[in-house]
Order: sequence, then C-alpha cells, then structure tokens
Amino acid sequence: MFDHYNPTGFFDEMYDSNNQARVHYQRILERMNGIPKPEFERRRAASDLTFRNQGITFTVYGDSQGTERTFPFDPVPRIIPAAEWAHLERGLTQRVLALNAFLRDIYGEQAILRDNVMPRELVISCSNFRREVFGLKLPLGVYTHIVGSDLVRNERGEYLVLEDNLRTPSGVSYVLANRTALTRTLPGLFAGMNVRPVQHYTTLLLEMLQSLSPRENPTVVVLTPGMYNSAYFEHAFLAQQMGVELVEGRDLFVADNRVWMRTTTGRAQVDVIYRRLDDDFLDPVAFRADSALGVPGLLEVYRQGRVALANAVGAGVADDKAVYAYVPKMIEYYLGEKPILGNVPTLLGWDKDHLEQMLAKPAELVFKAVGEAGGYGMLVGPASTNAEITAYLENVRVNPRNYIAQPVIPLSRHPTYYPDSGKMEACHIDLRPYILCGEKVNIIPGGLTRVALKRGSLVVNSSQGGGSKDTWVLEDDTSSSPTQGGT
Amino acid sequence: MLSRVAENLFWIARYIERAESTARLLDVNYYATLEGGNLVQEQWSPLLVITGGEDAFREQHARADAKSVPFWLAFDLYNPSSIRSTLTQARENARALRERISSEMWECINKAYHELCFDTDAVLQNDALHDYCNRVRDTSHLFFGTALSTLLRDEGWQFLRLGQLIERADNLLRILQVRYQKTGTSEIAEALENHRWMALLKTVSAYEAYRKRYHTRLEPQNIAEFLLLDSTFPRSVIYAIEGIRDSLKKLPNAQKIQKETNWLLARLEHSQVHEILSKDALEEILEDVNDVGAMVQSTYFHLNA
Repeated sequence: MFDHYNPTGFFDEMYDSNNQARVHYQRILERMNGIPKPEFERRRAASDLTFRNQGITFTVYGDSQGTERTFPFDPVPRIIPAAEWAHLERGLTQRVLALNAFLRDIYGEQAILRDNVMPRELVISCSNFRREVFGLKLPLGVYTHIVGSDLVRNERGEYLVLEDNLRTPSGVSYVLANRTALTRTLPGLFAGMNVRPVQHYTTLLLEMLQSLSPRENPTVVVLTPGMYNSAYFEHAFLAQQMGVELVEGRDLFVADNRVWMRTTTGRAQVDVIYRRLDDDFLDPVAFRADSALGVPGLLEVYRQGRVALANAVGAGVADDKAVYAYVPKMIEYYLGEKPILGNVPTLLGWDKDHLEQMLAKPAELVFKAVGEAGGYGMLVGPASTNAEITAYLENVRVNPRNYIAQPVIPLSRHPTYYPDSGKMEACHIDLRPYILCGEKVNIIPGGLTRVALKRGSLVVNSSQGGGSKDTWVLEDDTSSSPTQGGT
Repeated sequence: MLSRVAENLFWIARYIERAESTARLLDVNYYATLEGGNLVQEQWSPLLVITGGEDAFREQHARADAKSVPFWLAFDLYNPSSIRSTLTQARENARALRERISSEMWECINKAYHELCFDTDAVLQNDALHDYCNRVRDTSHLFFGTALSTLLRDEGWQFLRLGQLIERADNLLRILQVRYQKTGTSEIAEALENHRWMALLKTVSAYEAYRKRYHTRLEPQNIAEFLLLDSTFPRSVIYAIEGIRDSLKKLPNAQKIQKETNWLLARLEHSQVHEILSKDALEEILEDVNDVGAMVQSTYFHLNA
C-alpha cells in the first residue's frame, strides 16, 4: 500500500527528507505492510459501517438534504513522539494561561490597553467583546475552560498556532471515537507502542465543570442548540459519558434568581451549564431577542454568580482572528515569558499598511473573516479564480476590520489511505488538541488530527470535506522503533 | 427526569410499537390475499380503517388494492403512520435523546433507519415485503429487548413501557373493532371465515398461543376472549392495561391516572367477552385507553414553569 508513496514537496510526518521512515513510525509501518490489502480494505469498510450505525455524524449546513454525514476516518494513525508532545504541552499551557489572563484583564482593569501593548480600538471593536460581563468575578478567574487551539506544521516541521478556539470548540468526541475505532479495526498496531490513553477526557471535563459550581453537589448540564446543530452528536456523547442531562433552552427557565430545569416532578436547580451555544443565542433578554434557543434571564443569574457557564460569556474576544496576532505579546506581558509556540504571521485589515499589502498580493494569501470558524468565510488566494478574489476583496474594502490575511502555510502531510485508488497518498493535516482549564491546565495527549481529503486541498475542516485520524502520543520514545533481531 | 426526555421516550416506544403492529398487519394480510383469490379482494379497505387515515389515503391513491395499500402502510411518507414514517420519527426522537437511552438501543434504531427507510421502491418490486416486515418486527423486538436489559429502571423506563403498552392496546382494539363489526355475512364460505380468523390471530402473533390455550376450532368468541381478556398472553388488551397500571405505580403524581386505569381494568376483569362484543364496548375501551394516554401527556410532559 505504501508503494509509490511520494513524501516529497512538503514536510512529511512519516518520512524524512531522505525518504526514510522516521523512527517513531517504523514499527507500525512494518505492521501495516504485513496486512494483505483485501483484509485491510475489509476492516476499513467495517469501521465505516460502524461509524454510520453508531450515528457518529455531523450535519452539513446549506445541504438541501439537511443530511448527516459521517466524518471520514482514516485508519493510518498519526504519531507524536513523547518529546515533541512535551514541547507542545508546555507551549499550549503557557498560551491558555496568557489568554485567560488577558480575558480577566480586558473585563477588569484593562491594564494591557492602558500600557499600550494592544490597541484599545481593536479590542473594543471585536464583535465578541461583551460589555455585559464587564467587572464580573468568575469562579477560579477562568474565562475559557475548554480550549481547542489549531496547530499546523510548516515546511520545516515547526509547530505553529493557526488559531485559538475559545468559545465552543468541537471535535473532542471524534478523538475518543477514533481511538475506539482504531483499537477495533487494527488492534495489532498498538502492541508494545505505549500509546497514551485519551478516554479519561470526559472524567476530567466533569471534574472541571463541577469545580466551577457555586454550590456543593452541583447539578451540571450540557446545553445544546438541538439535534439539528452540526455538532449534536458530540453534545449528546459528552452528556452521556459524563452522566449529566443534555438540555435545550426550552428545558430551562429562570425563576427566583436561579436557573431550573423542567422535570417530570417539577423544577430542579441547575448549577453549571456547559453550553454549546454562542453568546448571541444564550439569553434573548440580554443578547439576540430573536433567539429561540436560549434561556430568558440567564445572564442576570450568571452575573449574580448563581450559575456558572463554561465557557464564560465574552471569551470570544480573545479568539478574534485579529486579536490572535497579539497573543505572543500577551504571553510576554502577562507571564514575562518567551512564547514557546509561534504564531502564523498575520496581516490585519484593521492596520492601514497591512491592508495595503493584503490588497496588493491577494493571490498569495489566505484571507479569513475574524469572527468566523469552521472554514466558513475563508478565501485561499492561490486556489481561487480572479473573479472569486475580486468579489471577496469587495467585502474586505467595505469592512477591513473584519478580515485578516496570512501567508499560505505549506501544511505538513501524512500518508492517508484512499479507497478509490487503493493506495496511500499524502494529505495535508493539522492538529487540534483539547485543553481543559480549571484549577489547573489539563491536556489530553494528542487531540484531533484533521485531514484534507480533497486531493491537494489545504482545508481540513469537516464542513469542507475533511476527515480525521487517530492521534497517538507515545509514553516514551524508545518503544516505537522496529523489532530488533535477538535480545 | 426532564419532561422533554420523558415525552420523547414515550413517543419513541409508541412509534416503534406502531411500526411493528403495522408490519404484522401488512405481512399477514398481504400473504393471506394470495390464497383467498377474488373473495378476499375486499380485505384491503379494512386495513385502512384499522390504521386510520382513510381520507388521507383517498387523496393520494385512487384505489385500495394490493399495490396501493401496502405502499401506503409501509412506505408512503404522506402517511404519518406508515412504517417508514414511524421509524423515521422514532429515530429522530432517539437522536434527540441518544445520551439518555443506551448506545445499544440507539444503534438498533439508527441501523434500522438506514436499512429500512431508504431505497424502499425495490421491496415491492422484488416481492420482498415479507422479509421487510420481518425485519421491522425484529427491530422492534431488538429495541425493546435491548431496553429490557440495558435501560436504567428509572422513570424513563416507565414512560417507555407506557408508550409501548398504550400503543399496543390501541392497535389491537382497532383491529378487533373492524373484525367484529360485520358478523353474519352468510354468503362467505366457512373456509374463508376460518382463513380470516387465522389471519387475525397471526397479525398479533397469537395463533400458536391460541392453539395451545383453546383446543377447539377457531371460534370468534374464544378468539376475542383470548385477545381481550387473557392476562397470560403478552399482546392481549388486559395484559397491556395491567402493565400500564404497574408502570403508573412507579411514577409520582399518578393518582388520577391510576384511578382511571384501575376502573378500566376492573370493568375488563368483570366483563364476559360476549358483553364486550355485543354492547359496542370496544369503542368505549379504546376511548378509555386513549384517555389514559392523554392524561400521561398532560401530567408529565406539558407542565408550565
């Protein structure tokens, strides 16, 4: 299957520049080559069917069928050596500590603005900046409890942070589902590899959520927009795994300055809400009046500290794609440290000089709308026609604050099995680790490796035809090399 | 337990039970018509009366025949009670509470949805209706059987049981209403009558059980007695009402519904089958069963803050 695999042109995760398999991949490569192709194909098809039967799906918006799709799962695991992961773990911990410090500051003293480290106007003009929570004291002082920062590797294999997702990052359920799927499909790959486990995520998540409660023996719930939301599977999965109720806005109401849920025996008080709903939709009294998904009066109870929300209202100001450019400065400002993980160089439409550069060479850049996620509102310059670029730049000129541009990062690639060709082909990948922030920072080893399955594409989002892989972090870096003869 | 979750569980059970009931009805009648020849052509209209929605059927189809009725009952999405519609609904409901039911229950219904609700045109073309109906029945058995051994015995279980039993009693009573309407149609041959009663018993999976219970020919009154009043037969009306009573005992605030159920049960226990058949009491019992259903809904699902 690996015959004719071409690792050249980009940084390849499995092969080095001399076309030799990297040490940490040698053992599984040997094992995969030992599986006859028809057998491999049979197992892969069986795992596809399992995903369908289990309903591990996401909903595609704007698809007239309104249908759910399974998130394609590639059985070739991505492997991260222990030392490399330790570096990522340090860098991510540093980053979320700084981001939380920033949020505390912005909704409090605003020292970073006073000291002119960041321009006030840029922060205040963020669509996700919420005046409503200014001055609030939050449990543990944490604003963004569940973080999914997207990492990519450039042509030198260097990890960079592409963006931070601080509001309602999704995908962690696929991390757990992929691991289960691979252990069933190719159990032989795991033997002796010391792959660090991930299934304890939901326990850590529940403990973190409970730690935010204003009362003893808290009632925690997961708030979902409902089953037509693209990530509904994940909401249901997390609620089930934590053993807490999955609620919709209509199940909750506010009375006597508390939040309650409607039950068959009357009302029951709710203490912590893991909400998978954007700020805008949380409370029609405080935010969008036309939201039918939220709970009227919720924000007032939240302000009084009688219910905790994860993530906090207003956390989105720190994952605005323009604010992102300042995260390295935040790290230096709040922690007095050098950033361990770098950013992708970013041009801000907000800045006159930057805007000029953006408009001058759009075909070489990737444009992004600052408040969007999921690959929506993006333009990949080199892959777009002149007409598409012209149309997009219209919007940039009308509202430059709303756009940023970055050079095209030549994302690293990873061998991925294509059922249509029956071969391994090189696909661009990224990595989204999941970081929990409560009393301390906890990161489950690895995260979600997303794969751009459309041949040649750099866009890994599930909504844009991406797939995913199981991601292994090794316990130590000695167990992965190929079996040695003798002892 | 959340009201929405309770309501969903109640309806998921009703939908699946209804799918099974329709599948049985269709399976038995479809194959019974093959043997009876022309004499049983009028077998198709009663199925529409039993399942309801005859008017809606007439809007979509010109004639009630061996093509249109099976299509309507099994696959027509214009029919909210068709197998395909009810399985789709059940699956939507299950999806909305997939964190609440066991993963095995969810997988069972999700798999059935993918396998039984798409590409259904081929089923009638390939004479595969029997197999299709069997798979629907198996789905229902697998679903409730899985629930039996995986679902927590909390309130949710009681709501699932209530939905299943209310639907089961309702479906059987409707069948009996139609089958016991026209008596004394003397022009029809005895063999055909026998054929029909056998079909009735098979529809509710009661043929073998009946044979074990009554060692006589197929006697309409015995059949009615068996299906209505034999509490050892798990698809009988009285068995369903007893189950409803037992489930209500485990639920809070159920006094009013329990009273209604006990009254219904007492009347059944003290009735002779000929009284029920002669006095049009079937209609009354059906109404009472549906009243219990309505009371469950108003007590637990639609409370206001």
